[in-house]
Amino acid sequence: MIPLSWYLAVSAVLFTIGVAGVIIKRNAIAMFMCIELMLNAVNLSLVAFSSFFRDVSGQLFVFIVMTVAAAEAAVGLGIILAVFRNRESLDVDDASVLKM
Amino acid sequence: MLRYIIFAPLVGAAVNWLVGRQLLRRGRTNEALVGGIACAAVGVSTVVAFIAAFKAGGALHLGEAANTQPVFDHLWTWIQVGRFRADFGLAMDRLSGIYACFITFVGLLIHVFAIGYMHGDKSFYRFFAYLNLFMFMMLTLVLADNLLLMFVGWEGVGLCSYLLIGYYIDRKEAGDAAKKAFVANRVGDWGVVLGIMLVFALTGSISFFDKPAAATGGTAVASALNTIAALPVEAFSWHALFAGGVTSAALLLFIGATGKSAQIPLYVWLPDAMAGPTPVSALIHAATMVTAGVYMVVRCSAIYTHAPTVMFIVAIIGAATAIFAATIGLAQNDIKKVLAYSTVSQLGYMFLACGVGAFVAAIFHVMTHAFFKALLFLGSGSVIHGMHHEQDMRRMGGLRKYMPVTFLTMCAGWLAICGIVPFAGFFSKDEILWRAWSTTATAIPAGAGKALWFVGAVTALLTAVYMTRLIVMTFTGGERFREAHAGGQADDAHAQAYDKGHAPHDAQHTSTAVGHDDEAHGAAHAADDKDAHAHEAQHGPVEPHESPWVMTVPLAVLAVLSLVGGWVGIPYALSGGAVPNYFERTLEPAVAHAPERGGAAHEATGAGQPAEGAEAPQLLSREPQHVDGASPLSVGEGAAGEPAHERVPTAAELSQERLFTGISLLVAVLGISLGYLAFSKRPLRALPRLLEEKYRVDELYDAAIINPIKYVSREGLWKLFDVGVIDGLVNGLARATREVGDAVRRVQFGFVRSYAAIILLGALAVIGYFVYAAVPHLIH
Repeated sequence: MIPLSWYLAVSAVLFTIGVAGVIIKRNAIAMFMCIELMLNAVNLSLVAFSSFFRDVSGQLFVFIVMTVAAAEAAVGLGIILAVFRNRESLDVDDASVLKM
Repeated sequence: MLRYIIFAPLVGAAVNWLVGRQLLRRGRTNEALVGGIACAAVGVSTVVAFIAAFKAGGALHLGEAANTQPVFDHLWTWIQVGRFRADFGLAMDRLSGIYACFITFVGLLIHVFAIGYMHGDKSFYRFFAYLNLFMFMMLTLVLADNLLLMFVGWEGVGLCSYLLIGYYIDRKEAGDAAKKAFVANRVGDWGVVLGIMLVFALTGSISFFDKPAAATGGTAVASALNTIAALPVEAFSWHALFAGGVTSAALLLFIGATGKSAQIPLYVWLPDAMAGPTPVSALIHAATMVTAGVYMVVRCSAIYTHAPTVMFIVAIIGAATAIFAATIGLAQNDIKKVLAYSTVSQLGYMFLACGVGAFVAAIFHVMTHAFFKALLFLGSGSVIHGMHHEQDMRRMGGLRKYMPVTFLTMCAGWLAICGIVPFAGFFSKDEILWRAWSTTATAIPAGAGKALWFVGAVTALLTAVYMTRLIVMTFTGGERFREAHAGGQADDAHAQAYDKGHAPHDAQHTSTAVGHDDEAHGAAHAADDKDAHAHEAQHGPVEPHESPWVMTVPLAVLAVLSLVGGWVGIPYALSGGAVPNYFERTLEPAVAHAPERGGAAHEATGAGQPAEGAEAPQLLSREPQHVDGASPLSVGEGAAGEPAHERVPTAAELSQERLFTGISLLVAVLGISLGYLAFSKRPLRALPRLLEEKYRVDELYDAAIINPIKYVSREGLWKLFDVGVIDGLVNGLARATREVGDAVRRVQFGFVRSYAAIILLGALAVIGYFVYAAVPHLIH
């Protein structure tokens, strides 16, 4: 039986990679994927806790997160496409003209 | 029942105001409908007022069922706060009965006249709505049973006056005159409000009458006037004016009267008010509203008789205004301005009468003045109408031939105001002059009565002169309207203002003069192609024409009243007792009596203390004997409806009174012949420039009051306080907000990733806090 801490460690590593990716990457698609990585890291810990506590609600919550992630992917990719059509670029630092 | 008197015109006003425009739009014939609604509304008031006054037990019924108690109509208790109580209640006693009757009757005639005069006006319905609203307010004023409700009517007539003076909304002078009237009245109203408060503070009531519980359907109301009547008469001293007693209350109320009734120093608005349509001048600025001040003084006669200092002031102001305005009237060229100053002057007479304690004579003059001055104003309206809105008498002359009915009726008014014997004005004016001469009231220092009489007599002379000048300039002599610019300095701007304001109106007149197309067919297009004609008619020769019957019939009725209206008050000295003095007998129980100098007026002492105080004020020797000695007011306990008996004066008094009657008649005849001699040959005779410029009082007020106020307002209040303090505060706040925002906005880098980094740092900080600070035991 693999102890809970291992799952949590993997989850923490995945989450940290995701955070670092969001902060470091300039490419919108890459940032987007990193956000997905963060979400899945959280999912992993939720499933692990669910198994550990013998409580099924953690797994239910994972489904909600996946649903939201799907919706977010649809909206997010739509935004990214719209930005790309306007600017011919996926670099998020180019999309900074709203500041004064 | 009294409620129908006041609410009928209100209904008429509402109907015309709400649907008048729709009614009028259906074609010109519907003017009769709109005007008819207004006249019917006033007609209902008139009928009800006369029935209420003259039915058995009514206020003016003099037969077996004579009643000195007022008739009440309590609608509801309006304000009840602690001891303070104001009812929306109406009451008709003899004073308000007389007022209600002549207001409704003269008002009705003027409404009928206005249908003819306002013919073709584009907002015909608005005019009649205002006029009806005015009737409602005026009747509320006179029928109110307490000071506060009277003040509602007082303000209401002020409002209607404002609306009607400024009726020609496209003329700046009308708007200015309306504002001037409103502001001048506000100055006076300040006094009325304070006076009402003071009366309440002194007596704990603002009611005019003792209202029994049966009349109110609840608790009984005590009369403020009766309370004051039971107080001792205050001493004659200037100090008393500011002592906060009855004298102060009387003075404050009188300040209001000077505003409403156009006395010095607040008279300046009335001549300017002639910018309104002529029926308005007749109704509001001659017959009814401007006599509201006299009404209030007589209504509060109990207050005034207890304040001899103010009585004296009232007499002085009245006499001064009378002669002052008469001299100005002498030199005016606008026919309505002459009548305006004449009105101011006649109002001065009324206050003179009040001041010397002859309240009955004052009201008598109010009534006769309403008849003959309304007649004169309507006659001038007919002239203006017939002359296509020419008001300058220098461009009239010889109109007798063209307007015979107007001329004849105007003559009745002219003789009445001059005081020629059988006409109404003779009796009332003579009464006032005689009472001024023979006054023994403590309020008037010995000898002052004679001086007041002299001023009054000179005013009567001047009145006869300027009225003769008016008649001569207008109706006789050469036909100056045929000359292009008669009178040398004809002011074109004036005529053009009329041109502009009345273009559709004039067009309509011209078409009536030419083709008599009063019928609906053709009137509409006639108005169009006659428009140009009208303009040319204004400057070229005009053809005067007599007015239609809706205008001449009211003139004729008023002319008859100007002739016979004075016969109800023939003094004993003239009739020898053959005809009773109905007017005095009616009104005598309704007014208080001024305390007199010792008894038979032989001790002309300066001490002037009333003998017994107010408990038993000595009656003027000529007064009818008062049987109900307890209270000088009709509303007292003992007034049981007994008509007062006239005491037969002594032979010496009689012969003196007859002598003075002869003198005033002589003065009138002298004035008329003087006026005729001076102006029949040279109607355009130059008069002193100072008089023509009205003593430059307007300029004086401008320089002394208005310009300083303007200066302080502009430089102090506007540029310093408003721009500096108020705007500075607001702008400063806005600037501070912007500075802070400017400083804080640097946080917004604009890079998505930096926001993400900040969120991360924030999350770490929160987690760190929980781990190391909030849960310290985990570390140990």
